[in-house]
Amino acid sequence: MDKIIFTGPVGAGKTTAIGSISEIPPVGTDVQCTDESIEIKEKTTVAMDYSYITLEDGTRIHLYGTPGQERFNFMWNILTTGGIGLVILVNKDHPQAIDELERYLDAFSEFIEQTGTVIGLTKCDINKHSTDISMFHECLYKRNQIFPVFEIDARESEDVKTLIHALLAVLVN
Amino acid sequence: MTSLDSTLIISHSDLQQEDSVVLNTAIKLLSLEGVMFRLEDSAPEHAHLLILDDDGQGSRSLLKLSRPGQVKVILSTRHHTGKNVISVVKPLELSSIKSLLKRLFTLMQTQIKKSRQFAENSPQAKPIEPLTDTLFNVLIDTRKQGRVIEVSCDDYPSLYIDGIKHSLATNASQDQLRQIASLALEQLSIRDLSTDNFSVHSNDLTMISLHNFLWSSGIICSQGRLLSGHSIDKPFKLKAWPNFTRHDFKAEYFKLAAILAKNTCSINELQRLSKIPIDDIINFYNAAYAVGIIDDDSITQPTAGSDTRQVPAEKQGLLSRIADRLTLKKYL
Repeated sequence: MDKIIFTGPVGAGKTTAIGSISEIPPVGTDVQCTDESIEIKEKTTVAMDYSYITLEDGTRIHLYGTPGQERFNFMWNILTTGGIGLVILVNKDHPQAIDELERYLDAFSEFIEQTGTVIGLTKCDINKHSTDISMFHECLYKRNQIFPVFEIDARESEDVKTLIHALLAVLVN
Repeated sequence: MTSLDSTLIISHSDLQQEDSVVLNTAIKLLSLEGVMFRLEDSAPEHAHLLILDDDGQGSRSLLKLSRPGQVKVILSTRHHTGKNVISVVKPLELSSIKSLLKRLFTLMQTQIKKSRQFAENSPQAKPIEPLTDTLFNVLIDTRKQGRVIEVSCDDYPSLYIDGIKHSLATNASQDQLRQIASLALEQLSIRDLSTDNFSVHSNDLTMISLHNFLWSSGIICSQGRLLSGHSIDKPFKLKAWPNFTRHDFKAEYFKLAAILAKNTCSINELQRLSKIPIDDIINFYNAAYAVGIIDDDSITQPTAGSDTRQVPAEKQGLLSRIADRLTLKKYL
C-alpha cells in the first residue's frame, strides 16, 4: 500500500493539511478531548485520520494522520509500516516548538532513515510565542539532518503540495 | 513542469475523442513500466513530442510553432514524410502507439543523455560573468553594512529597507516587487535614511521579511551571473533548505536543494550531477547565499555522489506520478 504519513503534536494541523490536498474529506476518529489537550482544541484524533489522492493510472496514494497525543503512540509503528515518507507538522507558535520537533524526529528516526521527511511549520500568522524559522534550521543543522522546513498554512493546498514535492525530491535524490 | 527528471512532454492538437482516449491509456500503461510521458496543452514549443491530427486546423498552427528538432507524430489517412516526422494511420491503435512511444522514449532519452554529456565535456560555452550593479547587490550591501535605505522609482511604491532589522516596508504588491527587482539600477533612486526616518516612512506600510525580497531579487537579477568573489569551483553545501512556500522557485530548485542538503559540491559539479543548466544553478546559489543558507566556510573537499540514493525505476515512476498529480501553480 502506497501511503504518506502526516505526524506532529496535537493541534499542529495534520487533519487540515490532509484535507487540503485529498479528494475526500478525511475520515477521522475525532473524539472530545478529556485531558490537557482540551486547552488546545475541543476534539482530537485518537486512532488516525485517513484520506487519499488518486493518480492518473488509478493508483491510490493513502494519506494517514497519526494521533497527536502520546498515549496513542502505539499507532505510529502500525501506520508507518510500508509508508513512502513522513510529513512532520509543528505549531510554530508553541512555546516548546523546537523540543516538539526533536521529539518527533527521534520517535520516527528509523522510518526517516529508511525513507525521508519534510517539516511544515504551521500557525505562522500567530505571534504569541513564535519561534523564528532559523531556530529550526539551527536545530536540524546541529543534528546533521538538513531536511526541508517550510512555513505553511495547512488550509492552503499549494503549501501542502509544496511540502510533498520537497519530500519527493528528498526521496529521489 | 515536474520536479522529477526523465518525463517527456507531449503536446497535441485536434485529436478525435477515441484517439485521445487511446493516447491517454498508452501513457498510463507506459508509466507503469517507468516510461514517463506527460500531456501538456500549454507551451508546445517546449514539448519533446507533438502529436497532431492531419485534419485539424489547430494542428497546422501547432506545426508552425514547432521547433525544427521536435519530433512530430502525424495522425492521418495519408502518408507523411519529412525530417522528424512519423506518420501514423488513423484511428490510433493502442498497442502500436504504445510501442511507438516506448521506442521514441528510449531514443529521445539517449539523445538527451548524449547532448548532456557533450555539454559536460565541452569547455564552458561562455565565461561566467560577475554579478554587479543590480538592486540585488545593493540589498546585500545594505544588509552587510547595516544600512537603512529608501529605494524609489517612477510608477512604483517606494521601498524602505532596514538592513539592521532585516525588514522591508512598502505598499508594493509581490508582483510589483518582482518588477522593481528586474529594473536596471539606473532606473532606481537610492538614498540612505536614518532609523528615525525609517520609522516615519514605514508607518502604515506593510512590513515584509527582507529575506524573502533578497531571495526573489537574487533569482531575478542574477541571470546566470555569479556574485563577485565567488567561484564555480569552490565546494559548498546547504545549511538549510530555502523556505519554498514563501519564495519564488523553479521546479529544478527542489532537486538542487535535495542534492546540496546531502552532498558538498561546487557549482560545476552540481551542474554535472543534476544536469540542470548552470545559469539556473548560479541564480539559486546567489539567492541562497544572500539568505544565509550556503555553507562554504570550512569545506575544501567535495563529497558529491557519496550519498545518493539508488531508487528503483518502478518507485521513481510512482514518485513522478505523485508529483504530476499534485501540480504546483506557482512555479517561476
